[in-house]
Amino acid sequence: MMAAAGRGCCPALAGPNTSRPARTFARRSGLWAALILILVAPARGQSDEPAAFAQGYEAYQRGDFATAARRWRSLAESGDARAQYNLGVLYVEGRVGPRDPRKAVYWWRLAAAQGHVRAAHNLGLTLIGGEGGLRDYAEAARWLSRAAEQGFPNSEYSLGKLYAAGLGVTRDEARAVELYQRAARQGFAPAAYNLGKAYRDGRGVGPDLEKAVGWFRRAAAAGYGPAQRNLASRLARGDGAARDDVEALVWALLAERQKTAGAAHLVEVLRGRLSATAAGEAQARARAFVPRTADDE
Amino acid sequence: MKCRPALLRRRYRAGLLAPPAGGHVSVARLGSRAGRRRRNAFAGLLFAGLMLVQAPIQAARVREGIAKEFIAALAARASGILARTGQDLGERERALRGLLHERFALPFIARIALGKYWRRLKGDGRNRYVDLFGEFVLKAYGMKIAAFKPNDFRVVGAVPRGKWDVVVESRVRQSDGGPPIRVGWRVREIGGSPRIIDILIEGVSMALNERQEFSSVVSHNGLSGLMEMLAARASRLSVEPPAPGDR
Repeated sequence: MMAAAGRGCCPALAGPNTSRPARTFARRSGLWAALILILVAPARGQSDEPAAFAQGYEAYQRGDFATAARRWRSLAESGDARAQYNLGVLYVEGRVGPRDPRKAVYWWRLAAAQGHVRAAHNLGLTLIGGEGGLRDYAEAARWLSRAAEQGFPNSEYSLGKLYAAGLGVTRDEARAVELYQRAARQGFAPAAYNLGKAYRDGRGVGPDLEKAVGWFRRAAAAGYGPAQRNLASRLARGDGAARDDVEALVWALLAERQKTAGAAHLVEVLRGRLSATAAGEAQARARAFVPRTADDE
Repeated sequence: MKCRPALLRRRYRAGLLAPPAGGHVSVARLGSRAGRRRRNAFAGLLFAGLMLVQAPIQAARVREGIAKEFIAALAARASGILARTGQDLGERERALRGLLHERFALPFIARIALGKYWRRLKGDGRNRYVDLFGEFVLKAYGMKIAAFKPNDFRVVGAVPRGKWDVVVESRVRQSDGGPPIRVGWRVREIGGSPRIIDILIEGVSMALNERQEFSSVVSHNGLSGLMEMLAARASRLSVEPPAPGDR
């Protein structure tokens, strides 16, 4: 086949009027050229894929969703898991026509079957969200488990919520706590907050208010609004921690900044309790707040 | 349910109608045009009744001019955000969510959407629901608005609705050249400022759509099922960026 390719490849070089050494040279050159083409062609195809993927992403960021869909679709059809995942996102977000969770699920299944974690995660969440009549908690739990097994904290947390609520799995609060712990240790703030609630209510673990406040504090320091509100309310009551109205106001202000429900009311109550100087100090501390990331811990 | 559309419409506009007790729309009716009309009339009545029940006693109707200005200012600011083409889509959508958050009466809409189940939630549970509802609604509307081009959105008028509200009518140009979409913004004065309490797309109330869906989820999977549904829809991840070596 290679010889045939060589012969067919360079007829101009091996014409009938050329000398024998020249013909031999031409034939050999043709063979080498064919060999190089055969070796390079698939590699060139592979090296184009990342560029096409990136072009799709740039088009998405510009708001040119039709171009993004074209780039990703051709890659997705050739089996690229990342492109399959992104194409699914375009469909579920309604970026290329009306929202179509069924098409999203189709592409995510293909990507997740190749071990794409974000696809397994979104697939699980879509089967919980139930748009387009797709609700299936048991299947959602299976996909979330697959992503959680790979240590993806978002999925560990979401699976924990399914265990806590007994949706698609047998209710198991101890298992939920275990999953929250795994996610919280990776700095996933909603998991730390839910771990705090588990300790507070004694669900899946023995009740321990101090530990509860410790986890609320961790989630609050990461910038999670509901944890900031909860911590503010505990500090204002001296519940699980020494009462500290100034610190309570700091957390309440931070929660209010994120428009967390109930935070504005807390701010009003705490401002009424504090002097103008103390409230000013809280305001300054809230302004200086920088959320902690997992790397800081 | 016997429908006399003209009379019902007059009463709905006047905000005088309460929702019919035990009103029921059969599945068979939903398919036909007449069925859809009846369903829309019923939905309108239901929403008017709900709005009436939720209205504060001392509320005054927001003036049409103020409501129009309020929505026009929202459109102008949204256009400014949409024009930041050098910014990533995710950042523009975050900015739009912040803008909508300022102008939506989220706790109010969250309560309307949950209907009778609201009373079952207490303290922390209510806060969690309102937080999740807010994330879910803002994400959905932020994405919708992010698809518009700057200045695609035009305020065309305002009409009083019920005793307290004004619906500001707008038109949104479609990028594919199709006819403009009718979008109505139901505005009410809450705490001394105008706030959006519902969006009507081609006359269909988003708050009512959510209420019907939420009610079905709660009846099948309880309030925890609803919370998980909202959390799931709000926490889905967006597109994966290219790896550093991809460009």
